[in-house]
Amino acid sequence: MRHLVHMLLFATLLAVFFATMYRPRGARLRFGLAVWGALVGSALGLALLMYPFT
Amino acid sequence: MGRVRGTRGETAGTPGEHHLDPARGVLAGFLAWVFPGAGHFFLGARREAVVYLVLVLGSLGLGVGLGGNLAMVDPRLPVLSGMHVFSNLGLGPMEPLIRTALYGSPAYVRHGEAPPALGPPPVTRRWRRSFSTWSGYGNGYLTLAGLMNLLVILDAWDIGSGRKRHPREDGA
Repeated sequence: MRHLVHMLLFATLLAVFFATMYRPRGARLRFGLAVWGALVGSALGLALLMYPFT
Repeated sequence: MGRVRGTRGETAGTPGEHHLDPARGVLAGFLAWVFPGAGHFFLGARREAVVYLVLVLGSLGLGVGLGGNLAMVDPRLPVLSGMHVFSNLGLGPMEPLIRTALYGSPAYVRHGEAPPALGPPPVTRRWRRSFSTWSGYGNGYLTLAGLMNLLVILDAWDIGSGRKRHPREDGA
């Protein structure tokens, strides 16, 4: 469970960081959510793909 | 030189053009390296400065708290480990201080092999730390903190020199 928490926390830190750097300011929230979704989604997707081999 | 097409157009000269100020960019980048967020604070982007400060120091705190290790140059993998050390150096002057606190000295090169053939004291301390359960995650957070601050330095440099619009020019 703590692995998942750290993955979500790591993705959140990165998403907030890149959203803060994004221009224009008005699009930051949407961009940040997209980054967070891409990070978490790809990680979970890869985990599901690898699950049969565990 | 020193004059490029831009998007601001608020300075004297041809509309749509603005001056580059390399010296201001270098100063902002240097301040960002000295302390996370200081470059943006200097440029008047205080909201961004606070966010970067919290993110970098938060990631650093998580890394140290989880038993993470700052990288050392490994003679067997000099390029990869050197890049890892470079990412840590993005943390600025506090990096050697943290390194000294973790390892007992500002050790940047790994001597000796993995346990049980432990090297000099700094390496011994490093290997002991690396055995903690969550140190792998700590390493990730430490690397993230350094890489984030490297990007913050480049961002401050770009904004300060005029290559990138100031956040306030985008509106709230």
